[in-house]
Parts: sequence; C-alpha cells; structure tokens
Amino acid sequence: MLRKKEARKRAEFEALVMPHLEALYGTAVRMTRNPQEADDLLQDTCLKAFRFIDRFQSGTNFKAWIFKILTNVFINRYRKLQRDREVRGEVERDGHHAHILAQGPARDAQRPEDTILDHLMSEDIAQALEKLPPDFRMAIILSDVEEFSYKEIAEIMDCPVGTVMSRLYRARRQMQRLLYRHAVDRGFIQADEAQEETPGASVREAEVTDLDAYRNRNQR
Amino acid sequence: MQCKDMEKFIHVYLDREFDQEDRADYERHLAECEQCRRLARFEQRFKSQLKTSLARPHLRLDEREAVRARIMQTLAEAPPLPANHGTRRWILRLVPAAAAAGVLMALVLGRSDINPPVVSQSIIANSNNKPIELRTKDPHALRSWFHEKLGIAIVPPHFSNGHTALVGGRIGQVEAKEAAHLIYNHGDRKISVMVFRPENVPFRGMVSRRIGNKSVYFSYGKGQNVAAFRHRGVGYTITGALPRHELDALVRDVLHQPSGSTEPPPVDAVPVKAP
Repeated sequence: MLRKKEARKRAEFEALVMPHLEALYGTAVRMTRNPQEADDLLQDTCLKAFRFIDRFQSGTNFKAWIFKILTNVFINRYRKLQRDREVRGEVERDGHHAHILAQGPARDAQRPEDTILDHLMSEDIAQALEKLPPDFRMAIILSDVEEFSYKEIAEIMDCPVGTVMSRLYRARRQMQRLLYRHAVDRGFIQADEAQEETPGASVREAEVTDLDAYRNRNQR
Repeated sequence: MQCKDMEKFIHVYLDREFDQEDRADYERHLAECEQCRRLARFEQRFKSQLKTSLARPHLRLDEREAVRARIMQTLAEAPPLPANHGTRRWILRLVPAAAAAGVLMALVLGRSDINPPVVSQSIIANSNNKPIELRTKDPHALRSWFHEKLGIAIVPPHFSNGHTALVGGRIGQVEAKEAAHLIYNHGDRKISVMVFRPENVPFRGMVSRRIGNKSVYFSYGKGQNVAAFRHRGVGYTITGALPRHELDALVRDVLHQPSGSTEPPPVDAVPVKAP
C-alpha cells in the first residue's frame, strides 16, 4: 500500500520534471563546467525536490521552484570547493578601465561592435561565460537562456529585484569586456577602435538598482 | 544628460521588464535618438547571440532516457520523509505566503536530514583535527596497529596518482561502531578514508553512480565531497575537499585493490611525502 503510494508520487514527480530536463541539465553543465558534476547536481536537485515536493504548491511555477533548488544545491555544494580552487585571473571586478564593446558609436561607418559580434563563435561566448563569477553566470543563464523574469530570478537567487538588475548589468558588461579583449587578441578589431572615449562610456559604469528609478530619473 | 539616464535602463527595456507606460516613454526616446537606438540594436544582438550560443545541450533520446533512469533510481532509493514532515506543512499553512517563501527555502536548504550518519561522521572526521594516533607512512605498521586495536586486518589503500600519501591513522566511528580512520595528504589537502564493517550502515538518500561494476554513493557537506561504497565485504568512505573527478579516481584505486587479506604494496612503492 505504502509502496504503491510512493511509486505514484515518483511518477507524478517524473511528469513534473521531465519537461524541464534539458533546461536543468544545461544549466547544471554551465554552472559546474563539467558533465559529471552536472549529472550529480541534477540528481541531487531532483532528490531534494522530490523529498520536498509536498511543499510545492501545485498550480504555481514548478520550473522556478526547481531552479531555486538547483541554485541552492549548487551554492552549498560547489561554491566552497570552487572558491578554494578558482583563481579569478581574467575577470577583474569593477575595473575603472572597463572597455566594453558598445561604449558608443564609432565615428566611421564600420561599427566595430558589429564587427566583433560577426566574428564571435558560440565557443567564445561559452568560454567567456565560464570566466564569470557564479552569481553572474547564473543571472545570465536564468535571464538570457531560460528567459525567467526579473521577479522570478529574484525568487530563484533569493535576492531583491534590484540585485538581479545590477547582477545582469554587470554580468553582461563583463562578458562584453572579455569578448572585446578576445576580439582584439584575435585581430578582429583594432585595440583603440572601440576604446575611444565616447559620451556613453562613463555612464555605463553606473548601475541600475531599482525599477522605480526609471520614473524618478528626472527628479534626481 | 537624458541619454545617460536612458542607457542605464537599456537592459530593463530589452528584457521587457518595463510596464507599458515606461516602455512607451522609452521608445519615444529611442525614436528620437540615433545613439541610443544604436546601443539598443547592439545590446539586442548581443542578447540573442547569448541565447543562441548558450542554448541548452540537445540530449539524444538514449541520453535523455539514461538521465531519466538515473533520476528515478535515485528517487527509488531516497529515504522516507522525516517524521516531522507533516507538522512542518501544517505550520507553513499558517504563515502568510510572502514570508513562507523564505521559510520554505530555509527548510529546503537544511540538508542535515539528508545525509546518512556515516556521511556526516566522515565529514566531521575529516574536518576536525583530532590527533593522529599512529603517525606513519608505512601501511604494514598501520595494518598491525589496527589489527591489534580493532581485531580486523585493514590495509590502507595505495593511491596511484603520486600525490596522495598516507600520513597515519586513528580509531574513528561509523554509526555506533569503531572504524579505522586513515588520514592522507592529497596535494595540500587532507583526505580521510574510513574503513568499517558495512553491516547496518545504509547509504540511502545519496546520489549513486556506477564505477566499474560497483554502486558508489556520493554526497557532500561543509565544502567536502564524500564517496561511500562497499568492496569485498568492507565499507569505505573517502572524504575531502576534492572535485568529483579526483574523488572518482581515488575510488577507482580502492576498487582495483585487494582488500583485507592480501598484502599491501611494498613500502617503497608508496609515495613518500613529508607530512
């Protein structure tokens, strides 16, 4: 009797999880950067989710719920290990000499930023993502790949919406900076082409922290 | 001046997070401003390139089935829910939804009820700096010492990677019974190998994976990974702040070695490293 009930619970859980298998596995691969560890992370996420499935309110967003569990398992399991080992070489945080791809219009018609995008391979982008700190990497995946809303991301990453906005802003900027450097190294673009001081450059150091800030922007 | 303020919100606009009114306002500005329009075009292209480049991996049908089967296997081995489960649910019904979200996660986060005792004990054993009772690089010496203390012949495993070196041993504990706690240096880290009688030591509720023809169980805590398995009638855990592939390699070494009754490798084959 009890065994039957357990089997039914597993089947119900399976039906909930399977539509999100690729999303969960893909995210696990991007976060752990290793297919074996990704498999463990996925297994562990499912194990936790199954054990706590009674706390999931049916009719609410299962994908966001299980992504939240994945995020927490990742943080608990890997962050400490990674922090120990990772040498954060390439990505400096909040550097004042941030040169990004889209600092503003170049004066000629060639548009260096477009040139860069034309030359980038998926591999380059995936590698740049791997160099980001885990919080930034997660924000990019949740927003740009999985297309969660800011509100959902805030719930998943357990932080305010303003933090999501600033993480996304900084994460994308860091990605662009890494890709810009990559493009210079490969000779797709001349180093000084996109580095010109343009009206936009200084602004982009600032961050958005609040959705209401847009409406209030003229009052400050 | 206005553009500066507008640029800051370019992602909010492209991510479709503005409400209708703000969006219309933003678009009015874009219609007038070539520079912001161009930035928006670039950021939009960048976004869609991210989406394409980072797309989820495509799992073939057989891969998908293998992943599914592993998940279902793990669930089938999951331990029953904690006894106080129902009570917690009842309490949660009383908590307003907003606050409940935080409480829920705190509960989901706590993993103390998931690790079986053998895993928690191994993690604690490796984290604590309890004195090493017999400090020696000689596996024969440790074997005799454990034989005398515990009455079983325990051969400290030899690891083939060249940087996991035996430091010594002490009497540890698994469940309520005494166990051999072997300490190794693994590069600049410490790892612990617990060797114990496997009867009544369940590995349930852990993620399992086949290594060779053995089921090996994995878990973690306090920044350490743990592998647990049985081999030739003996129970083992290997614990350390190691990435999975390194832990796997150590497990493989133990599985390839004869246990208990046979001779350990000659002493001079054991990598010697100053403790």
